[in-house]
Order: sequence, then C-alpha cells, then structure tokens
Amino acid sequence: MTLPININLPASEDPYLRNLTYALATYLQQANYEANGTYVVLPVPNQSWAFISGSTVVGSGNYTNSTLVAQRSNNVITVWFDITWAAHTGTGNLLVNLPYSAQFVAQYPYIGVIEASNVIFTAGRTYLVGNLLPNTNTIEIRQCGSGVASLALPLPVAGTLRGSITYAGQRSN
Amino acid sequence: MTTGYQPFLVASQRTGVSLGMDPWLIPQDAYVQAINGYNFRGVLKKRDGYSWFDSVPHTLPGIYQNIGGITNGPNSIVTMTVPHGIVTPTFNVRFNGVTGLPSPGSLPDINGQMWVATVTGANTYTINNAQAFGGAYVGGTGTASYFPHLPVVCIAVWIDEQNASTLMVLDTRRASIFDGTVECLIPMGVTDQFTGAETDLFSWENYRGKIYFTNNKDSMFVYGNGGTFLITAGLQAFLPQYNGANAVTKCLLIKAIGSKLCLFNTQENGVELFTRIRWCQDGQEPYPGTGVGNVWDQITPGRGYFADVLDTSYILSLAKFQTNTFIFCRGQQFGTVYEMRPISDPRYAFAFVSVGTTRNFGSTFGTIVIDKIVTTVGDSGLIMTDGNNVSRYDDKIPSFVLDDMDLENMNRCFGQRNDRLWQTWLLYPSSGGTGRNDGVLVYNYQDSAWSKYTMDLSCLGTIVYPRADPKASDYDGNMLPDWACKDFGDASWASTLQSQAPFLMGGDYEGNLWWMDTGGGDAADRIAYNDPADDGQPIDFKLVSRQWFPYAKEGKSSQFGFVDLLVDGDVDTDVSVGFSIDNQSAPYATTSFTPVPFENILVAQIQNITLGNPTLIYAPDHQITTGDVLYVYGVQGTTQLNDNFYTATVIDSQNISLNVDSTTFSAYISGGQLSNQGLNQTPFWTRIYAGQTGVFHQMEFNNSGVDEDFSIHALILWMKPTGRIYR
Repeated sequence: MTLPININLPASEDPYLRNLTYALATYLQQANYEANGTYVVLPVPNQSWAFISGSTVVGSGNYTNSTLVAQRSNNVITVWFDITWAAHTGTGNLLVNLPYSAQFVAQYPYIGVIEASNVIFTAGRTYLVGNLLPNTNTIEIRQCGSGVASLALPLPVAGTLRGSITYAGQRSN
Repeated sequence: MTTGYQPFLVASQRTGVSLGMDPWLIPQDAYVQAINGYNFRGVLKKRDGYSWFDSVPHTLPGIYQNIGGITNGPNSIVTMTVPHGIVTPTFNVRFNGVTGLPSPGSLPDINGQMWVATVTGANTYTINNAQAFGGAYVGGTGTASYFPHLPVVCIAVWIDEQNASTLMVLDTRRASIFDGTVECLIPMGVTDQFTGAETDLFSWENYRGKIYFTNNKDSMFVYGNGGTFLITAGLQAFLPQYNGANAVTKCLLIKAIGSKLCLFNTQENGVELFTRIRWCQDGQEPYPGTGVGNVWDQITPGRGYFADVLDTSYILSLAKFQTNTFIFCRGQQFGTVYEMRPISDPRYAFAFVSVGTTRNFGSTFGTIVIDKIVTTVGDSGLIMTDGNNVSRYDDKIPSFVLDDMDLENMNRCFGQRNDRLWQTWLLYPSSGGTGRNDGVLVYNYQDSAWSKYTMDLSCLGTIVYPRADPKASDYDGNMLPDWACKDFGDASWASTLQSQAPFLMGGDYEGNLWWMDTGGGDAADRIAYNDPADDGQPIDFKLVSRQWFPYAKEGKSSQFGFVDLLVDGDVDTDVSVGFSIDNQSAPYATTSFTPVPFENILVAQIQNITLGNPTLIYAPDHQITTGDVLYVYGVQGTTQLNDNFYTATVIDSQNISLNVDSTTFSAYISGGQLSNQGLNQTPFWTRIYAGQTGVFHQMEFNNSGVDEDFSIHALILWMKPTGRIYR
C-alpha cells in the first residue's frame, strides 16, 4: 500500500493550532515518504547507465534490453536486475553497478542470487553469487563450488546476468 | 469649552495604506494613508532617515597599483606610473595600503579616507588634504580606488569558518568587501566580473566557509577561506561539473539546504532548465566542483543529483522555512508553492510536497520569512504561506499590488526583515514611476499594520553592527551616520550600540550603501574629506485619517470641536493639520502646531545667556518666581542646558539665574524656552481646534523636515451630534 504524501490537514486560525497542524502534517508526510521509499528504474529515459564495469579497467559496453530496478524503503534496499551486454571494453573482475551504496561493515554479508547465461565458469566452480562490497555500490560476481574457495568472475566481453540482492543502504545526512 | 462634546478615543494606533472599506469610525485602523511613517507598539511615528555608509569602489581604470609618489601637501600631488584613466575633472579617490605619510592633528589617515581628487594630468591628480602629512610617502603596495556609482545589486554577509561576518557589496560589474582595518569597502578584483543589468540581482549563500553568488546572468561566483581551496584574490567563477564536461553554467537561486548546496532554475550545458534543482554531496566542498567523481557527480550514489519540480514552468523564488524550504513556482496561469524537504534517500535527497496553488508569483527577491510564515509578491496580491496552505495576507490593502505597483517591473521587488522595529520592508516600483524601486511597503508583523515609505533603493541587506566596541568618538567620523543626540534617548536605538546587532542596510542605483533608520533626514552624508556635514533631505511625512462618522448609530451628523493628541515632544517639529468634511478634497481649516504640552507650559522666552555660576538668563517679561523649577529647551549654542530642569532665582523682571555652572558650556547663539513642564516627560496631550459640522470628518497631518520627529500615541476626537445625515 502506498501511503499518502499530500496530506492537507484542516488548519485553524489559532497560531498554536496552525503550528501544530503543520508539525503533524510534516511528520506524517515524512514518515510516509520514508515508508513508501524510492522506486528507481535504470536506465532513466534519455540517459545511460553503466550497468557493468571491470575492476581493473572500468570500460564500457553495449546494453540491450537491460534494466535495473531498485526499491529503497527507509534504508533497506532491494535491487533486481536483468543485464545483457556485448563488446565490453573493461578488464578485471565483473562488477555490477547499483544506484545505492551499502552500509559499511567489516565483513561481506550482502549476498544476492545470480542467474547467468553464456558465462563460462572457472574449473571447479558451479554456481554464482553476487557479493555487494560494503560501503560501495558495486556487486562483485563470485564463482562458488564444492570444496573450493570462491573466486571473482572475470568480466566477459558479452553475457547476461539476472539477479537480486537486499542490503542495508546508506542514509543522506 | 468642552460643553456638549463627547470623546471618541482612537488608540492604540494602527494604520493601513488603504482599508478599502466604507467610511466609519474604526478606532485602531484609523488611517488610510501613512506615508513615511510607521506603527510600532501602538504608536504611529514619522520614520527616521537614512545615512551614508559607503559607496562601492572600483580600482582606477588604469593600473591601480602603480602609485609612483604622493607629496606631503597640502593638496598632495599623486603621481601614478601609468595613466590613471579618469576622464572627469574631479573624482573621489581612496587609498589602501599606502605607507608613509603619517597624519598629523585632525588630518585623517591617507588610507581608508575618501578624498576629492582633481585631475591635473594623465598620470597625476591632487587630493584635498588641507594640511601637509607629517612625513614622506614611503611606497608599499598601495592601491587607489574611485567610485563609478553603478547600481548596487547585492548586500551580502560572508561568514567564514571562524564564524566571523564580513560585509560584501556588489554593483552591476564588480564586488567589494568591508575591511575592518580601514573601516571601508575595498575593491575585489581589477576588472569587471559581471555583465548583468540593475535588474539582475544576486542570490547568495554561505556554505562551509565560502560565500556563493549568482545573478542568473553570468557564471556563479565564490569567495572565502573554507575547505581545501582558499580563495583570497577576489571572486572566482564557479562552474560545477557533473559527469565529464557537463556543467551548470548559471542559475537563478543558490541556497544550502539539508547540508547540500542547491542550485535552482539552472542552465546546464547551455540549456535553460527552469524547473531544475541540482545539489552536491552532503557537507562536501562544492568548489571547484570539477574533475571525475566530484561532489556534483550525479551517477555515483551519495554524490550529487537533481530533481525537476513538475506541474510548473518556472522556479521563481524560494525561502527557507524551519527545516524545509518553500519553492514558489510560476505556472501558465497559477503559481504553486512546493515544500522541499530533506529525506534519508542519498540519491533523491529531497521530497517535494505541494502546499497549495494560488495567483501567480511575480518576484524573485520579494520573498520574506517572518518566523512562522513566508510572504511573497503575487501578480495580483501579496501572498503568504505557513506550510498549511497558501493565501493572501494583504486583506487590509487588497488593491495595493494592482493599484500601486508597476506590474511590468514587479520582479524588481526586494524584501527584507527589519527586526529592530518588527517590520518587513518590500521595495517596489510604483505605478507611474520610472520602473525602478521608489517605494517601500512596510508591514509591522506584530500589529498587522501597513505604511509606505518613499525611497529609491535597489536592494536591501541586514548586517551585524561592524564595530567591536563603539565609542562616542565614532559618531563624528566619516563612516558613521548622522547621529543626533536625541536618537540615543529612543529605546529603539538600544540595540544599535551593541556589537553584532543586526542593522538594515539599503543599496541604491548610484552605488551607495545606506544605514537605514538613522538620522533625521534622508541621504545624509559626509562622504569625502572636508565635505560639509549634511543632515540630509527632508522626510515628507503624511498621515490621512479615515472619514470618521461618530454618530452612525444615531444617524446624525456631528460637529468636530477639537482633537486632543497624545504625542511625543519635539520643539523643532512643525506639523500641519488639515480638517475636511464629507468627501471635500480641500480642507475647511488648516492649522499647524508644534508638539509641546497644551496649556501653560511656556514661562518665558530666552533672549540671552551669560555663562557662569550661576547661569544668567535674560528673559524679558517673565512670570517666574524664585524657587520655580524650570525646564530648558530649544537653546541654540549653549545646548548643554537643553532638556534639563533647574531652579530659578529672580534677579529682576527681565533677568533670572539658574543653579547651574555653565562656565565651560558653549556660547549662546539664539532661541530657547523656559517651561514649567519637561518635554522629556512624554508623551503628553496637546489640543487642536476644528469646528466644522458634517457627516464625515477627516484629518490630514503633514510634516516635512530634517530632525523633526513626530509621533502619535492616541487621539481623542471631541464631537457632538448635530443634524440629519442627509441635506
């Protein structure tokens, strides 16, 4: 349910009651704004969004039928994405760029699910996860497997990733 | 004398510019016009004048630093090493940083003083020092400034990282800054930096130790010592970039909101974005705002971003209100007020809530915050919002905007609070005027009272009193206003003498900066060395009453016998009072009076004073007896006697003595009265006779003069019923 934002409470002629009305309306609007949160769809029309970058060379790629959706409620953020790229010029590990940064924590607890197409895994690794690096807005895609340490996925020139992640975001001051 | 007359009290005083109501007796809102007067705590007063503070200096058109030499004088010859560039025969010049030339006696310091210069050659001019300086010119990195008298378009206060305040004044081409050492404005920069017209007023804001300016004509500008980048060589252009070469090339308004510097109504990459609001990263240094990943970056989360206010076409004005900001937007037909509220989202950092839609807004700088409300200028009325809704607040003067304002030039309106008198001032261009601001609509927000001043001002500003420890000696210097002794008796002056007290300043179209509410005349100045002291131009005070109809309930006309006025005393004031009836434009009687107590106060006229102990007074035909306690006022010359009580001893029918040692007082010149009642025991009642019979009665007070104070605390109209209300 979307909570109302434009709240027009009846205002009295009495100055105290008018101040009280304003304070109440402000409080309700603020609370509802935070509860409703922000819904972000990327790319914004007429603008580009660098969905994917490389950890060594950022590079750029061609994105077709790609989108990223973020819902921010208070400071809890959930992101869903479906990205297909080609001819990417970046090098290093594959990073997915999100519109919000994660809170800083000492470890790496922000893990999301990933579906990949046309991506070749390193030997011994059988599935992927997204690991959102704390205090950044980038997901590092990691390859996992039984009995081996996880390993960052190198950025392929082309590929498709779908996934989602929920994490604690940062606040504006 | 009072037989048959009945009193009608008119108090406390409250005036409207025009009530727009039928004639009636309305005790408080008793006036339809108050020109150059104001209401303060129920008292209607003639306003004070305004006095010269300084003018905006520019460096000489030639190379300003090349002072080759200055002779000792008198009339010192200044030689520049290159042509000074001044083409007029005379000009005002001011030096800063010149060393040597110590000032003997009463001659002011060579630096900081405005001198009258006379051009004697392409490289030379003389200044009007009446005495020789006490030593030779040494040199140094002195600069010479002159005063081109361009319109003032900004009066700002820069607050640095140590929270110190410094006055900055901008004209249409350059900026200047107050130097506390030489106590005057000094030029910033040696070339023109702005290209705007006198209508391109500056919006400004302090943020993290720097001050930012914009006139929506040129780039933005910045100055200050906060953060990493120190700016000390004058204003620097400020062109924040986001993501590569994308740049905000100008904007209409600039304000710090929610720890972010926000730009409103921008031009980005040459494209006008009238509804755009762009902000930088929280609490970060927004200057220079260039380079990859800077604080204006709109892609990296937590940096800068932007929003467009929808459903409107133009962000026209804004005002901070509590923790939020009201944005006044012009639409095709109607204006909308939005509330811009910081939220926790680091990307979309603000929420926008519509407060209400009303008549369109007409002025960028006419918006004023009055604690719990914000007022602004609409194109058909004056508008306020308190966040609950949007409405007009000019119900007492509903026709003011449409009738009195020049609507084509409404955007010149400039609003400012004058907290010392609980007023807001709205500069406006009057209909039928030149298009420039020539009036001030004064609103007393405590009493909801209105009045109008006549002043030609381009903009206003509030500064803190710039002296740490004001002394009496300050008051006859060049920089301070034309203080009259009586000003110090006025309770409203108390805050003026405190360091850091807020003070209203006005800028005019001739490059001058004025102290408002100071002195007894308008534009009082003592600009350059040896200029004669100028008390200023007379202030034309006019007060027109409503058409009073005292026996409305009885349905009778009335005879207006007389009026008792509760006034403050000023023996120098001459007030003309006209009485008229029944919509007749010409008064049936006009009289003048001086606000002194009505009866039996004048004991004798002083015609000579002999200084000594006791003081001898020549007062022919006096009616004084020994032991009388007398109040002295109006003496010219021996002014030390004025406004005090003394005990008299009769010498003979022509002479008395007063028990005061006047040996060291100034010599007598002329005038003076002896009274049995102190004029400082104000207010007191005085009486004026009228006499005519009519249905409606109206009074008009006029006074024009310098140092002529006038105030009315209350009136009692003495009326008696007469005949029918129709003839």
